[in-house]
Amino acid sequence: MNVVVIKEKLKEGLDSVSRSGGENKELPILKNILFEAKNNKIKLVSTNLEIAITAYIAGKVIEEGVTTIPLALFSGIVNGIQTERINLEVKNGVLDIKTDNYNAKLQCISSDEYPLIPKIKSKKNFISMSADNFKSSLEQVLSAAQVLENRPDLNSVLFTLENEFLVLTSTDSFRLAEKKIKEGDFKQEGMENITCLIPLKTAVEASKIFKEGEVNIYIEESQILLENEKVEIISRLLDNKFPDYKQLIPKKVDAEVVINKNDLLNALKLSSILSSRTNEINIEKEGDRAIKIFSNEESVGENVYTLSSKIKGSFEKISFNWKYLSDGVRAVKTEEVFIGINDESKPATIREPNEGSFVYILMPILKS
Amino acid sequence: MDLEKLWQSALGEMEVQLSRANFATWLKNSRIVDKRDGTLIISLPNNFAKEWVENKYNKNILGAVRNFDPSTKNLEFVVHSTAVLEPKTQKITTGDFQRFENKINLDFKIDPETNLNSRYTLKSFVVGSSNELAFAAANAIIDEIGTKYNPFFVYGGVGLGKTHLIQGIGNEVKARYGGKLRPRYVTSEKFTSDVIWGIKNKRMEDVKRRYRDCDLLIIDDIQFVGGKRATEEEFFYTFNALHELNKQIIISSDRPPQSLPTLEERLRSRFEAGLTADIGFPEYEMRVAIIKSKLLEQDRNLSEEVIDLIARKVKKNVREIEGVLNKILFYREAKRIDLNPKEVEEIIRKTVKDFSHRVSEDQIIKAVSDFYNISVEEMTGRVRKKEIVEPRQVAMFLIREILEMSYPHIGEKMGRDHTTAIHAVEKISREINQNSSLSQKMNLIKELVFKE
Repeated sequence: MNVVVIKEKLKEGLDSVSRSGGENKELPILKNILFEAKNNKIKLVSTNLEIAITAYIAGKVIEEGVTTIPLALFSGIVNGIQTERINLEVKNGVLDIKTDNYNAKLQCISSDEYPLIPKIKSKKNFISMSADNFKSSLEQVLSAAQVLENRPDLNSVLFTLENEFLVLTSTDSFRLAEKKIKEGDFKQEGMENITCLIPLKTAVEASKIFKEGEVNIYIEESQILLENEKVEIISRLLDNKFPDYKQLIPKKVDAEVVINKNDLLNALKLSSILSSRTNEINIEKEGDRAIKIFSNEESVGENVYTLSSKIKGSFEKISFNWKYLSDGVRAVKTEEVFIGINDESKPATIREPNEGSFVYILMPILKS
Repeated sequence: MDLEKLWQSALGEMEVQLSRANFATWLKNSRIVDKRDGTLIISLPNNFAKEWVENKYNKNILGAVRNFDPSTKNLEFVVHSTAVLEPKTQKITTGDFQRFENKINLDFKIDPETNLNSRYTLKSFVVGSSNELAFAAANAIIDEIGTKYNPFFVYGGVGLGKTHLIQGIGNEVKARYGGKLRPRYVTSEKFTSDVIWGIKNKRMEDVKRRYRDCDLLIIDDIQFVGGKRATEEEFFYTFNALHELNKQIIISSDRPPQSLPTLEERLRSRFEAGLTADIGFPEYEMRVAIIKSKLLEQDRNLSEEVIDLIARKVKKNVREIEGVLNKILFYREAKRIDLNPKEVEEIIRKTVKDFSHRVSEDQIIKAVSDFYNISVEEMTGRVRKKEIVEPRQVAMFLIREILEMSYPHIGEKMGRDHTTAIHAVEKISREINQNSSLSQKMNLIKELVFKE
């Protein structure tokens, strides 16, 4: 194998595939990436046997071939190289990395031992949308997700196609986020209504990897393929049950509060400095035109932040974990954010002022 | 040749052919599904394994299979379910029937900082003669935290309210002292896994800090720590560190400290230094009160007749009472009709498993011998040492009580005549009322027996 590549392109490809790398004691070859030059295309593949990422990069193929290269070392070298072009040549199981003023040799392992990447049976039916839309929708939903050791059943994003809506949902049991994408913002071809659970890690990586073009999504029993022109992610699907969450979303609210998003985020950040160990901050109504955000840590001090806002209806004091509240507020895309409050012990709703496509449900901190 | 055996033999052959790593990665978790018209269907844990095995090992496996079963012509590979196992921690706090309710809503009630579930409050804890002492001690501790009774050790059987009581203390402390005192609740399983995590990732300092940086440490089901040396040691140091600073420690277990066989002596003696209180089986009046308080909590009603029926039939376990209750309420809501006593009885019968039909006298004898750590031969033998006589009599008593066997039959089983059996049963039933340690042992043995 002998190829010449542009350093930046190679680096970008390596960044994408490095996201699925994982250690496996039984199979040390998983620390390597598959490097293939064929038909004037260069393909990089990495996998941890749960998810596999394939990246295609442009380059000049002088001689076709395939091998596997230790990812960590290879990335380290490529990142450090200053010149624009890199020549890669494999001879007798040794990768020769050459630039104008640098030369390195790396031991490779034969690709015979590398796992075969599963394929989708048919690419006839699919969903597609722009990478921007895909990325921002996923990011919104991931605002309510965190890896929970004790609740593996929640470490996932629910993916539902129902009539003309594509719905993404995720929860960590303290909050829940739901994003509805309307047909038109996504296209679909021959798909039936579908419900599947994507592992959280896959969703997180997907939200970071796709940067441009259209993302096509193919779903088949037990696996999902996400791809654009440059990158493909294939991942297993989970088959446990997502909690039935629909009834959790409050149908009506007692009090509606509309606040400038950036002001609120600032206020939360500032008042959090004196919040208790449980990240608790309190919100209280101050007349009809303002809310008071306050927090105190006994033996340290206390603070109050007054914030003008439009309030309809009334509520008493309600307490939240400020981190969770900020996550939700940040995920709202409009300049102003709507907070619907029911009761100090019932979930609050955070969304755009005019019912948008995104809703974030947050449980207040309860006073027993 | 049956399929399972066939596949095991084929796997055995493959294991010899392949490297250990390859076998472990690709074939170890395979299963045989079916055989149809000469095609053997094999399931693999993921698509990667399927792709690999299908393309690389197809021939070898077919060869290996055909050595044992020449009628196999083809292999087909499928992917089997990847379901994540149900989380373990939930079995302690959530009754079976809360599944019908909104699970998320319940989970929202767990405070991430203290790990306490706000569902458990002392207000909703029903007090009766079987748990009076424990409850009074709990209140005294809340008033004078860390100084009055430290450590506080609560023990009692499954589903009698240990977790409720100790979490209730935590919640009460949180409510009364606000942010000044920081309770922390942990199951011993979680503690163990934290210690393991700390050792593995060389972050033991973080783990130490997490547990020592609190004013009230509540450890549930301490018996699971027994025998895990590093965990026990870490717990011991944590315990000392907190105790020296007059921080309150609350521990629960399914048996008293002196009956925790695998626990180290130095730990046990420390447990005994504080206050030990037991929670026993609730009596009838208390069961009625529990049912009523549960109903009140959920803002629902049941007729006196049904309440009486549940209280009479479900005796040994509060969690079972909750289960039955939820099931009845669920049926009522789902079908929108009131249940008559007969239907209620049917539900109780189904929920409270009727163990006696599934237990044999051999299982009882085995459980007793396991518990006392003596062999079955010794128990049925002729030796009349005290250490052997008690287990022997307990076994006879339990066979009589659980299975209602005839005395001659019991005698025969234990290599004795029927008068010995009568004597043993009478002696134990007399002693069980006077000797609380004996009745405690009895409950533990019964748990062993009924454990599936």
